[in-house]
Amino acid sequence: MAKQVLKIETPLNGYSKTINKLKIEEYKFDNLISIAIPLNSERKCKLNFKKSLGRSMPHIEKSIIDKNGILGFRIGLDLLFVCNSTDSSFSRKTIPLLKQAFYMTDQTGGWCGIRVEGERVIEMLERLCPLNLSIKIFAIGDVKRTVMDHLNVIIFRETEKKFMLFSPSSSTGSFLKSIEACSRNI
Amino acid sequence: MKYSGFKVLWEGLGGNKGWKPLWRKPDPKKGYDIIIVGGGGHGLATAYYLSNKFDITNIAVVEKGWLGSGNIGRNTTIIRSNYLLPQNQPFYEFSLKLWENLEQELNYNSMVSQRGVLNIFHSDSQRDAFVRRGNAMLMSGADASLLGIDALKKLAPFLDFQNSRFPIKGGLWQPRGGTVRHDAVAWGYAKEADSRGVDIIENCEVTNFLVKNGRCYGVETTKGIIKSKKVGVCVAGSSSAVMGKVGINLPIESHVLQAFVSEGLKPLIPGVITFGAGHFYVSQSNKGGLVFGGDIDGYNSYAQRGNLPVIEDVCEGGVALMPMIGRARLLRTWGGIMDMSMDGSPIIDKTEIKNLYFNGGWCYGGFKATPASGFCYAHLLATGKPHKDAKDFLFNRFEKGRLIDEKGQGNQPNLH
Amino acid sequence: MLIDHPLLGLRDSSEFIYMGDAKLLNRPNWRSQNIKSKFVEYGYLRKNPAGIHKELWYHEQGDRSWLVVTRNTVTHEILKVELARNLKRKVNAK
Repeated sequence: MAKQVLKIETPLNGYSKTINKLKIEEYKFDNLISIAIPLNSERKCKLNFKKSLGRSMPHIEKSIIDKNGILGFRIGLDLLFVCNSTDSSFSRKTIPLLKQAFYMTDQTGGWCGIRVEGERVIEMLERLCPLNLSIKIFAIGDVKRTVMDHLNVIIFRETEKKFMLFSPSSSTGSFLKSIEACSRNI
Repeated sequence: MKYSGFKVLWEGLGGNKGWKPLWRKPDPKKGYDIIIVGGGGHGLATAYYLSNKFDITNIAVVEKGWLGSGNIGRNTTIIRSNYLLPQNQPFYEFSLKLWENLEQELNYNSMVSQRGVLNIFHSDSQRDAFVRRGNAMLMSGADASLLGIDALKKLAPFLDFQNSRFPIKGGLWQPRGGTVRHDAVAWGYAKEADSRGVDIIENCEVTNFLVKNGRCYGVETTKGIIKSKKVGVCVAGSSSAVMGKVGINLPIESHVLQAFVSEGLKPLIPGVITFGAGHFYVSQSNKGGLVFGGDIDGYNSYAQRGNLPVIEDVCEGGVALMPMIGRARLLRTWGGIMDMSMDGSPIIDKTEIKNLYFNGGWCYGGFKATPASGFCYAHLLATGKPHKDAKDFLFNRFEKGRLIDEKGQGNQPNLH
Repeated sequence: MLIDHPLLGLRDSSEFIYMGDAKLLNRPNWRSQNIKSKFVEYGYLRKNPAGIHKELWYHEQGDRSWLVVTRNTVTHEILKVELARNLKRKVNAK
């Protein structure tokens, strides 16, 4: 019998398109786990985070990005996400380690990443996003949760003209439609 | 002054020089039997029914601005009686019956136009809820019918029947609902109340109440002290501010509701149409503008103006229901202050201070209630007892747990 | 309206959910005297001022924090924004 391999099917099926010179593509990741700091355990969690991921716990609305992509980010005083795309020891070693300090919920299937990049990306996002997108306020590496077209979206700035948008996977089709419409209309 | 077709013709021939003001501009007397605080729709209706149905004519209506300058001049003019709960529905049906005879009764053209109100539903469970509501309406003596897709396509072919997110499954139709020329309601009531001797005193703000030993015996105003055997407050969005002067906290928050008018278009919308999947309702005025509205902004406000997110939200609802209006341009928006009560239903009751009465908490449904609110308030002020169709609109329903919560949202005023 | 979040800076009010008068932070003790009327007041009665109002906003589409916003209800001007958790902890510490 041939060997059976299960392949992950992502919410947008590997979507990639260029509209008005804006490159829109699905961002794939293997894990997205929310980790919450229990009451009065900020110190313990900080140490644990460093031990587990080898990086300091980010400040609120900051992220950790390495060459493989987004590693972790913090959106509230006591709420962070960790993600990973390549490291094979992540589920085996890192997750059990984090569990010693944090409350954890696997949300991998709950979110879909869409990356938008291009010269006029700000003009496109201004039609959707209520945030101030000026680089002085929203710096590279910053992450914010907000609302776009009535949908809950987490937005990262990767470079000045490159953003990553995480939206709930159940409604990501509608969200992609909004992005496409706004890209056409700039 | 009596209006008639002949009179219009006669004045037309004579250069329209014979028309007279509809009400006097009297100075306040020393005392009255009853003072109504608030010269808006409900206050003027109360004065009219007191003077014409209960034969109490020694009345003053005191108003801080000009007559009809509040929500009677800012609403979206819809009348209907399509409520569900037995404490509400008979009251609104009573109101609709009063609307039907209003113009004859007041001898004033308030353009009562029973062009029908349509509530669209978008799912099977919503249809079940609307069937139940329709039955409640029929049981109160109102009219209601359920329309299927075919009837709807005939009535309003421009609706987005292809919408896959919010498919249109049918509608609840009340033919007797419709629209009224809102300002003319205030003017008509003022004219008839005035003709029976009611003093309508404009630009006269109540600054305090005269209270001694737990009894109210008049008001202090910017035009001096006016004494009265009874005082009835009826000030909608300003309810908390006015009742706060005697230390009464109300189960009310004031919120801003915005309304919208598009540029004038040819006749297009038959009656009033409401979207069941969002919050959007629309009718077409006699001048051709689409008059529409949606949700309140959602935070306490006395500003009489709203903010952009709700404008966007209402327009999105409109375009989802009838994409054709995406091409109509928005002409004007404005805001009014709603007295949002804790259960979404009104209060017509005595207060803990003797001879001081309160009428308010109409949320954003006060316009259609104007005649019945006036009648029932007049009944309470004249007889001391609640009218049978308003017997549940009492303060103590909150502590007794007898809330009249049409939407089932609990004590969260911005959700009603 | 833009709400100046103490941790995140200016954010659009459409990211927030409004919960009304900040007196809701002070829930009556259920063992105290006249508890029925205290709960009626807590649950249903509001000062609803035309002017300065302290109120609760929840940053649902944001960092999920509860804020106490001091705002003028006549002009919509926002005068002060505080984290509700800090205020509540201060009260509890007393």
